Amino acid sequence: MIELAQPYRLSSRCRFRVVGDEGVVVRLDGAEVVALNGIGAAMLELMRDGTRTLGDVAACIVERFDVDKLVAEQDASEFARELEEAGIVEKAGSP
Amino acid sequence: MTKTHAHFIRYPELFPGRLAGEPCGALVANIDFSGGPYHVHGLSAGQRAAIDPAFGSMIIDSVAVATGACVDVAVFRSGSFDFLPPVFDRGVYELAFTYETDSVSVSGPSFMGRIQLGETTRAALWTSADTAHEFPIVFENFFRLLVAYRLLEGRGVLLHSAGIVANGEALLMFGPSGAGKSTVARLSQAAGYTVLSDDLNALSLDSGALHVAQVPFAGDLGRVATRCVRVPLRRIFRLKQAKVHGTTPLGKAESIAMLVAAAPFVNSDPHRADTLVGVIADIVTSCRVESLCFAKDVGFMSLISSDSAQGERVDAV
Repeated sequence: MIELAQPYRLSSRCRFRVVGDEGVVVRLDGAEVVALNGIGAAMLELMRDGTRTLGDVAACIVERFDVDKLVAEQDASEFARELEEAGIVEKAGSP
Repeated sequence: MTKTHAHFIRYPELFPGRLAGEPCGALVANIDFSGGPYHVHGLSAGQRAAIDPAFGSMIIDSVAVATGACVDVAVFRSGSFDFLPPVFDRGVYELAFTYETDSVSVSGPSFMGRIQLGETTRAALWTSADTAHEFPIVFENFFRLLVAYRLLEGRGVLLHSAGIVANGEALLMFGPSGAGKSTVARLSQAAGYTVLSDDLNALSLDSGALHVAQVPFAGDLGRVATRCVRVPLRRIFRLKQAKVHGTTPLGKAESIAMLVAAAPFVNSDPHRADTLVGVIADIVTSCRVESLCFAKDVGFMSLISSDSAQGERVDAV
């Protein structure tokens, strides 16, 4: 499981746009667009600038979507791992 | 494998950096098309004659060059030796691009071109004046790229799609290769509906409303050579072949992702990615996008255009 103290940020090779209550990520290198549902869009919006840890992100999600804290933390970790593997986010502080 | 200019040009390092050169000839073609008009000059007699079959009825006497709404397209002479013989990989036809913040350069079989983007879009095409027989393909390849960029500047988009007219309104159906664009177009045409194109359609914002324009490019249903037809957009469908007809709504984000994938040329340009997503976000905000499951009969048209009369005709504007 990914460390909850770790902040992530949107990759400089991606663009993110909130559309209504969903989100769209454009990967500039692959000309690929990824659609995110409401919770996914909210999580990426919170991660975007790299100032929040995954724990912070999970806490905001608990508040906004009325979900269990443990579930939110697991979801945030899993989501960050998937986004990192897809090159959409990177660890904040990495070059 | 992604093509580079070295696949098409003998000396890619000499790719023209400016829109300058020696005209192939002194002839002009003013093309009235969505996102345009386009003032094409520097044509040889052979080149001018060669574009008539596809563009003939879109060619107009004059354009308001001074307004800035006209796209200037210069055709410059290049030696045939400058271009390498085309190589097709498994029948796949690709062009090579260089994307910059204010321009895009392209090369392909027997041509290279540059589109200068900004307040006044200008373009130049370098090709051999001695091979007029190749010019229809050369010009079409360059012009469709130019149209894609010009439309995007006007908050529109060129879409890989089938465009079908029902009750005076356009239904756009898109999807990846093999999704059924040509199939739905053929079925609709056989049932008497007007098909704008089964390959590419221009979606533009005219007077605040979305319109679909027929493009003079080849599709499986053949070339069209008609004055630019613009039809109000009614709905957009993502095609999926199935055993029964049916529609389901698509979410906005999913619609945007799928439509971006169907917007050729500009969807590979990292400098225009934000703009493209913004334009398509506007489109899906004002026009419903649905998934259309269709079986191989024209019954799907009853489902999606129940108030439309069959055999609808659309006259040129």
